[in-house]
Amino acid sequence: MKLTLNKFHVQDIQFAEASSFCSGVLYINKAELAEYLMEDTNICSVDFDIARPGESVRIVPIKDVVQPRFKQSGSGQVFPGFVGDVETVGNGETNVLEDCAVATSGKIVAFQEGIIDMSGPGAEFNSFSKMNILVPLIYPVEGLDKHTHEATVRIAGLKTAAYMAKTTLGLEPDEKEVFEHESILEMGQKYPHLPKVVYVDMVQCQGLMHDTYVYGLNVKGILSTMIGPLEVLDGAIISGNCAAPGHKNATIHHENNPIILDLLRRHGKELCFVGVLLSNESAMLKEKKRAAYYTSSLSQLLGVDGVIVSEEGGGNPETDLMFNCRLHENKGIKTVLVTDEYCGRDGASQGLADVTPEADAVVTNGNGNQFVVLPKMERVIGDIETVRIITGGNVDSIGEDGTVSVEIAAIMGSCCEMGYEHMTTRLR
Amino acid sequence: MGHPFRCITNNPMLIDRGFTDLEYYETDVLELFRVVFQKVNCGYRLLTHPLTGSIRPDITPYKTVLMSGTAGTIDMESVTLIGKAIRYAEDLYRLRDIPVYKKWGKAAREDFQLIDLSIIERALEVEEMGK
Repeated sequence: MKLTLNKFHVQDIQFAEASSFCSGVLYINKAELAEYLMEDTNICSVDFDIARPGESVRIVPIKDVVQPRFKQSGSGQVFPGFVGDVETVGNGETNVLEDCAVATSGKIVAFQEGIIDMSGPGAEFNSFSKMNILVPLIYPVEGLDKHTHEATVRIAGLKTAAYMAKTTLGLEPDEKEVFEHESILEMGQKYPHLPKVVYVDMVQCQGLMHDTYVYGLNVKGILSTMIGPLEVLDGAIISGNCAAPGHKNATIHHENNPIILDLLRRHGKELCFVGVLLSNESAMLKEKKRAAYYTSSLSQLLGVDGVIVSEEGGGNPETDLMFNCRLHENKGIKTVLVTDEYCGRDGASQGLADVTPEADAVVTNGNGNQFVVLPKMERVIGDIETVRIITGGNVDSIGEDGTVSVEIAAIMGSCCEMGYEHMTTRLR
Repeated sequence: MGHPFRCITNNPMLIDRGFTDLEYYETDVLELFRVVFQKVNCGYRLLTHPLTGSIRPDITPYKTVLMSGTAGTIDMESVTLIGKAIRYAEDLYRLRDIPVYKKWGKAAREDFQLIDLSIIERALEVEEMGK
C-alpha cells in the first residue's frame, strides 16, 4: 500500500469572493462555506474568524482541531463515514494544508473546551499557535439536545477542513512525502531480522463527548481490531472526545499521529512496523479487560516483539493502559507506554490513577497541573468568560488586568498523549 | 434473585430514571468513593471504574458507580481500584484551598450531571450488547 501526502504550506488565510489556493495563500468565500455547512439544518447560523501566528489573539473555547486534507486520487475520501463515504482510504494521493488548521468553537458544555494563544507564553505549549487557523463559530438551532449539538459541530469542523483542502486539487504541492506499507506476510518475508513492532492506539468510547469514530462508526462495543497506518493518516479516526484540552486526542492528532509517522519512517530500517491495533476505553471494567485481553491476543497472533501503547484521556484510561501493559508483558511482548500526568503543581504526587510493576518503560508528555499565567490578548475569538469553566481554569482564572491563570490542562494539546508536542521524556 | 447491579451516585439526574437499586448520596465525589469503598469491603464488586469519563474528580461534582447487585466474597480487584481512585481524588482535591467543583454555577452543574448520566447509560448500553 502506498500513500503520498502532497503538502501545501499555508502562509496566510484571507476571505475573498472566490475560494482558491494561490502562492501560499488560502482564499475562502465565507458565504459559500457557510452555505455548505448549513446543509445541516441543525445549524442556525455560522460565522468565521481567522487567527494567524504571532497575533495577540486567544481562541476559546475550542472543541476540536482538524488539519485540512482532501484526496487528490485513490480510493475513498478523507474523514470516511462523515465527509467521505465509508470506502477504505489510505492509498493514492492526499493533499494536505500544512501550517493550517480548523478549530471549531462555540459552547457545547464548555468545561472540556480549550485555549489556543497565538502569541506569548501560552503559544509555547502547542504547535497550533504556529498555524493559520480558521475558526468556524457554529450556532445551533434552539432546543438542540447536547448529543446532536456535539455531532453537528464535529461534522461541521470536518466539512470545513475538507472544503479548505479541496482548493488545492490539481495544483503542484510544495513537497511530497511517500509512505509505503506492505502486507503483513510480505513484510515478514522482507524484514525477517528486524524487530516487529505494533502500535496500540487506545481510543475512548464512554458517552457524550467521550467518543471516537472509525470510518464513521463509534468504537463503543467493538472488539479490538487492526487498521492500516496509512488509513489513519487519511482521517479514518475522528475525535468526538471531551478529555481535558491539554491531553485530548484531537482529530489533527489522529491525522498526524506522531507514533505512526515515526514508525512508518523507520519501517524497514530499524524495525518492522506491523500495524496499528485499536483498543477501546470503556467505563465498564469487563469491557476494559476484554479490550486488553483481545488486543494482547492480536499482538501475539501477529508475532510481534514489542508494542507502543498510547492512552486517550486520564483517570480510568490508566487502568486500560496498565491492563494492556501487564497482559502484553505476560505474553513476553515488551511494552512502552505513552501518556501524560497530573502530579500536582510541584510534580510530587503520583501522576497516574493506576500503575502496574510491569510498566517500566513509560514516556510522559507533561504535567497537566503545571500552572501558568497568560497575558491579556488584544483580541479574543469566542468567549473569554468560558476560561472560568474549562478544565484547568476556575471562577477566579481571569484577573482584573485580563491575565488568565490556568493549569496547562486548559491549553489545547499541551500534554498530547501521542507525543505531538515538544514536552516529552528523555533518558539522561 | 436481586437486581444485577446497584447504582451508587451523587447525581440527582439519575433519580426517577428507573434504576431500581439506586442509592443517592448528597455528597461530593471523594466522599462517594469512600461510600463505595465501604460497600466493596462488604463484598459488593465494582462493575464500572470509579473514575469514569475524563473529567477529573476535583472538577466534576458528580459521579455514578455501578456495583454488583448482590454481595459475595470481597473482590480484591475492586478493593485495589477504589483505593487508587480515592488516593487520586485526594491528591487532586489538595490542589486548591477550595476544589474547583465547589464553585460551579447551575448551568455547569447540569452539564456535569448530563455527562455523568450519559456515561452510565453508555455503560449499560454496552452491557446489553452482551445479551
